[in-house]
Amino acid sequence: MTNKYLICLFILLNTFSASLFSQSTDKEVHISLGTVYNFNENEFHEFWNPSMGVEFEFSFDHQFGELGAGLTLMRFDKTANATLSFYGINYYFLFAKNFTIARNVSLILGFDFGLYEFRFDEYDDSEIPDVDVEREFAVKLVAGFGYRFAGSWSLEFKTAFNHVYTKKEIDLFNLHLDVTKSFPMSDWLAEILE
Amino acid sequence: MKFINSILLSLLICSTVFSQSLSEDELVVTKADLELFSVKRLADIFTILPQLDIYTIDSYRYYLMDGNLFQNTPNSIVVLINGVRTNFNTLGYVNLNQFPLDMELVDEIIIKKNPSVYNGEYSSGIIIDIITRKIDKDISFLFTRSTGNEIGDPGPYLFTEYASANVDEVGPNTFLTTSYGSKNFSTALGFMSQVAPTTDQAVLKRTNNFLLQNYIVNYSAIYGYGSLTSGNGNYNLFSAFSQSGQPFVGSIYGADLIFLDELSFEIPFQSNNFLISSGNEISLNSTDRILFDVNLNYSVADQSELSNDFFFNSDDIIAYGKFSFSSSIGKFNYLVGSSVEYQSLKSGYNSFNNNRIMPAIFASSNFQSANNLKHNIEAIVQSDNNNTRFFVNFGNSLKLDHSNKLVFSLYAGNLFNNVYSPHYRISRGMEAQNQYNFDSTTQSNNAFLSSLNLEYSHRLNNNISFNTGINLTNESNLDYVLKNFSFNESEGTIDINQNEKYESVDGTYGEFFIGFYLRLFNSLDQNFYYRYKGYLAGDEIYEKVMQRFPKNKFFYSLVYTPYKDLNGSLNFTYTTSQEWIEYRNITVENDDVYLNKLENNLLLNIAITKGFWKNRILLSTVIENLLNERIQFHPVGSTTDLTFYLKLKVLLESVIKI
Repeated sequence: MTNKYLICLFILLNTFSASLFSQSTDKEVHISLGTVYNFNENEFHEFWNPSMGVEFEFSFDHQFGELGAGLTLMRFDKTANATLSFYGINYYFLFAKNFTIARNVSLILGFDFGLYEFRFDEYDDSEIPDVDVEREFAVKLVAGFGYRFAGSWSLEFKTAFNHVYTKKEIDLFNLHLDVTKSFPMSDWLAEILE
Repeated sequence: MKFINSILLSLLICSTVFSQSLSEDELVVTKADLELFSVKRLADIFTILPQLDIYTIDSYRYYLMDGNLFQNTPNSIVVLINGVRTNFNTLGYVNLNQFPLDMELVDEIIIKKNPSVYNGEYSSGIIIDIITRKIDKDISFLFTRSTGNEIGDPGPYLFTEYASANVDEVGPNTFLTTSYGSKNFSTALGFMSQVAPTTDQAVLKRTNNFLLQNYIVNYSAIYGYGSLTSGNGNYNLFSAFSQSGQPFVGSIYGADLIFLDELSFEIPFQSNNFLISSGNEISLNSTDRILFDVNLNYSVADQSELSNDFFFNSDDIIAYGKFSFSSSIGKFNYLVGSSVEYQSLKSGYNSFNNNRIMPAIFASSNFQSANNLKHNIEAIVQSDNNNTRFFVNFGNSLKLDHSNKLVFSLYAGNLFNNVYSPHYRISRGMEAQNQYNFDSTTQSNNAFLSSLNLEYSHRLNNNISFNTGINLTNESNLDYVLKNFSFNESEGTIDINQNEKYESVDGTYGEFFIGFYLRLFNSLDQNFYYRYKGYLAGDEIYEKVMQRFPKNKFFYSLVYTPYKDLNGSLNFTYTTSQEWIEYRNITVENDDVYLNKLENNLLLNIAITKGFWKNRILLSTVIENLLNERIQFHPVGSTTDLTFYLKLKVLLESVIKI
């Protein structure tokens, strides 16, 4: 029950810190590709066993921080007979703030919010409701480190707390390992994004 | 939980925030408010107006709390557009969410909070005047679409022992408008489509007799607006055709619903409405003007085609004309005029067939008796086939110096309704069919209200101001029917037991408020508002009825606009408990869906808007009830869960030059 207050507090602190420390004036767009690994255990895992997932993100620098959108895809195989396996697809808007703590190394704090889609495997059982897809609102709190190398490439290692607001709420702690390529923002793209 | 609430309240009280409204009686919602709070539907403005006591059954339809307390204090919301009456309603009920106009065309919304007279218009509840903005030059296109998702779906647990009922999406709501503007002429044409599900267990549970389950409201409208300036005249025209049930586009049928307090029950219906309103002004010279307004409203409503429980239909015509003359002599400005309203209200399944002509005369004046003392007085006398009634408001504003102002106002007169309430009309129909015997619904017009407001405001500078005041209101000759609802365990419905009738109820209530406004930097605006409202004197039953109002209400809002293309807002409202004596025999054991007492409510909403392409495209996210507290605004109303909305707005202004 205290989750919701912690989530709100984290988001507020993150937003507050963003308003105190303005982002670098070098405007770039970032494209990330990475993997997601779920490492916690709770009641959810009595029904489903998560596999390694993939992540894709697009973001751009704004004076306030890094803004963007992304998605993760993970496979959840059933561990109990009375349920179905599914793909979990999380579509989200993201906000992140990079704080440089050493040369080429930065601390990353951020949060995402969007929809978590449960895309169920096909089945043929008249006793199970005929549903293909379920969706629910989800938030994700993110903290980690980034290492910039070869000029425009970065390696990011992040932990994330993913909270899905289903009736019986779902909490997933994930590790993310991303490779990010950054590009200078062209004038025409800057005009569209601002 | 209490600890968190205490922290939040302390933060509120410590923060020096507060209302910029100059007077409590007249509230103004600006275009900036609509944008910064990312208002998705028009009735969302109620969430940023703590001065009003409003409740909702299902987060789609809103009702005035004052207007539903007594039999003869009707739930009256009068909607004007640019000061011209629209008579927008279905069966006498106004759902502001369904007002057919793109909010992008709105410049500001003026709300008269008390029963009052306003430019020759009267309401026993509130008056909402929607002021349209100047149309952009040449041809423009506006598109808005919003959709939301209330949390609480079962997700993957659907296939486990934790399975639960599904929760539907909210919306989508779509507006598509094209406009043309030139120096003397402007016009806008638009289309509106709205989908509103009513899938909360509280509603579904008590409506299990209907053929129609899993209700979805489908509402669509087309509207047109035009303005012409020619010579000495200004001519405005607003027209709309709207339909609920079968949408204009799409095949999914969705009945509208109306909640009847008499039954504690929803009635599904479908409707068609046509309205045309025209406001015209001719300047005779520099001081004299002639104004004439015309309004025609035709609406038909029937039971939903997917329901056969309650038989009713209606076929209503309202025609309204108003003529007035305004002038000024020095610092004395006045307006005098007359209006006449013709109503032909018919219901096919019962004996309700009411034709009435309601002539009225009105006058208003504002003048200065000293350099720092202003007055304004407005009065109306109206009659219909049976009664004559009047209402007057008198306001005085004393400017003490550059920073300090005192406002003293008086309101007095009868509480009367312009259209018969939906409760009255539908219950008459049910009685005619012997479905129910209410033995209670009266529509007398002789209730009397007198109200005194005293307000002090101080403006330190443009960044800091506050206002405070008191309000004393006495109501007399009220009729009240003490209903006694109980929960039927076997049917899962709300039953009506023996009613108890009270006549000539008298009572007085008082209100104290304080509001602060504080701007920190140029980008951070904060408002704080506190209100105490409670019974002071009168009959015992009056005291019990007044428990429906939350005694204490705190409101805080914050708007942060650090960048041209990115802004955010937050608003929260905290209300103390409310008791509805009609539901005194409902107990919490009833599946925890229905209550007799609403506990403290803490509602926190946030909105973030990002602009793209020089703000031609705006993407907003709104999260309502962020803390996901259990919030119910009515004992048998739905529970508000955290709801996540996305809103996309595309503004292609002046894209085609002519």
